[in-house]
Amino acid sequence: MIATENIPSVRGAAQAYGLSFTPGTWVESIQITKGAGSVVNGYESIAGQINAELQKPANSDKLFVNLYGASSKRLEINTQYNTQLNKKWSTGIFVHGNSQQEEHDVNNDNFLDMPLYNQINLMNRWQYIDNENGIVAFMNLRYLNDEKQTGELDFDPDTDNLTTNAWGSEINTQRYEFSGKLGYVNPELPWQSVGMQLAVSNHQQDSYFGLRVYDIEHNSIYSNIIYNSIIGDSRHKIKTGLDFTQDSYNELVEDTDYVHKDNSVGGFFEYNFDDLDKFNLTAGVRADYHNRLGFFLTPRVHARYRPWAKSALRVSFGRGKRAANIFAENQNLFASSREINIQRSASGDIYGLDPEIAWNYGVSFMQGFNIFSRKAELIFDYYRTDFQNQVVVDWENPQEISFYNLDGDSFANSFQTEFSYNPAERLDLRMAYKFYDVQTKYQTGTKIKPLIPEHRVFANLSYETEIKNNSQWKFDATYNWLGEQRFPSTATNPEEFQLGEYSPSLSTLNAQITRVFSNRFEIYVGGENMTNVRQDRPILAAEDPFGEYFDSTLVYGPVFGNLYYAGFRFKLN
Amino acid sequence: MKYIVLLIFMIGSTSMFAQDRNAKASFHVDGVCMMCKDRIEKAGITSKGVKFANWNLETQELQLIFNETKTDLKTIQTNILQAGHDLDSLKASDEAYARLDACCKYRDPEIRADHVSGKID
Repeated sequence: MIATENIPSVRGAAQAYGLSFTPGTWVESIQITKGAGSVVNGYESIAGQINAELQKPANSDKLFVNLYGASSKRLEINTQYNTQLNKKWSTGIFVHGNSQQEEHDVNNDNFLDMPLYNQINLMNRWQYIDNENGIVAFMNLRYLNDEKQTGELDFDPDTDNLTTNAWGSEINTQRYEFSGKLGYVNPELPWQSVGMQLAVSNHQQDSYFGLRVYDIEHNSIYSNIIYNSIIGDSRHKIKTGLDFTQDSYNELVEDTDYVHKDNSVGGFFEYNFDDLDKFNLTAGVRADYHNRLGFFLTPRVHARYRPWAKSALRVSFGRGKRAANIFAENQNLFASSREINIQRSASGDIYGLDPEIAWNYGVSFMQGFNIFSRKAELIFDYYRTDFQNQVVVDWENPQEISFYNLDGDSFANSFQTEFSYNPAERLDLRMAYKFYDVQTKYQTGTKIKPLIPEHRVFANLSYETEIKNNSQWKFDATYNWLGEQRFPSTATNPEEFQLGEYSPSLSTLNAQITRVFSNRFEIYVGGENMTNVRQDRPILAAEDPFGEYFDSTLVYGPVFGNLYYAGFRFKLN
Repeated sequence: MKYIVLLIFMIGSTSMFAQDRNAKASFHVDGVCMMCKDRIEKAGITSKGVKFANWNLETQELQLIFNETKTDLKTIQTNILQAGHDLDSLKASDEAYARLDACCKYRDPEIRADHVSGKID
């Protein structure tokens, strides 16, 4: 689950686009929780939570300008202007735009390698701080307009829209959002506080993929109130509160309307114990009533123990439950000739399907140490997600995509080991290996989830020169290796449209050099996928896009190849 | 009548010795680093009746909120002395001071200087 300032944000209609609707320069920090999250943020998260904190007008740069240009002719602008209006109020205006209007087809399949796009993203934040009375408040207004076009090179949306003249697709999204927060900390009793949040959004996507139409409108209201206090003394903390969510969806999928409204109201209680030394425990439970998920309890527990110096042993477990938005979450399916097949169940309330329920268990061990008297850290973690029910997305028939309730086992095992080392002053090394085993019982048998590498390697090296007269150089290089990925079965296709069982493994290299001239100005240049790795044939049956074998969902690697970029950042405090 | 007298006596006793459940106190405690902070705050909070303890490294002030019906300032201060940290007027015993980690020996001017210069965190 992805949240923005602790309000679940990447969900419903916005799910498929992840954080791409939140510009990177707006983000102040990101917190990642692996395993079961906190009950405070709802019942939906299963395998982890990501929270992005945005820049705060009261303590961000007064003016920030970032321009970026890439060899693909992508242009991007990020600006923000923050000002303090008086002792208590500050406001900030954030503007982001990106555009890429150059047609690229390096693999000569007559299809664009990347969409043509334009995005405008605006935010106005207001921040109120009254330290004497312990009050902090935020208000945010956001607007997004995002347009994407993809498909065949000679596709002209004005004349070829929903015709067989040429295959093309447009995805146009508009989003309006208001969110507000009000926090009160008792100045007399610093452990006592109350927080309230409200978020209201309208998200509208109008799109088509070849001859298929997919429109979705999602109106959402989220509100909660949290009370923080202690039991006895500040080693025993509690959080308790209520939340209310309403989501109304209106979807048009080909010729079928799907209209539904979700309401849920819930209460939660979380207890935290910190012995201020070796042991920390968080245990929470929430009870929710949801019009389609029913009444249910969500328990979650985290514990941390420090057996000896510079170490941490963590364990966690918890339950998650959610209604899958099968179309919004699997939008790429539309860009294929696959027929949509929903195998409804008698009890199914969500597109005729049951809610997803999963348990997550995790254990992690961290140890810090020194190598040649310089800091190093080693982390091992293992997380397992076990689905009690899942909406299985079955791609195993190349002419179909099927959705059905899980009958049998479905699980994900994730084992990761990470090593970080600071071999010299201002030189940092990070390496990680991840084993990710995701298996589901499909109607055709238990299989590895398609297009997910079982093995991954990551390495990053960064170096900064000493700061002299406020200026320095920064160097950064990242290597990624992805092991082979299973293709969903194409065995029933004619031979020319068959893929092997597995994709090849692949590796990419990215690097960036930044020159900081002063506290105000820096420039950077970089390269992505510098070894120019490409998937040769990303689209199956590209030559016959309205035929029955056309499929653009089988992408395992970069389509475009190498890309170089440059940009600058200017800031005034 | 007997009961009324008893009742008056009980009310009287609570109002006469009004004890604050959220009494506040703040005083100087010697320390040099974040490890000291953890130790001082822990010594405060583990003292029965203390609800909140926050020690500021810069000002060397320990802020406390405690329940006067359960404890008093002297008891809490004794706990902090036993953890090895000096107060303004009272010195921790040499045994307690000796138990501190090397980097926390705040009575040693050299260690203090090393923390200020950033030689040790």
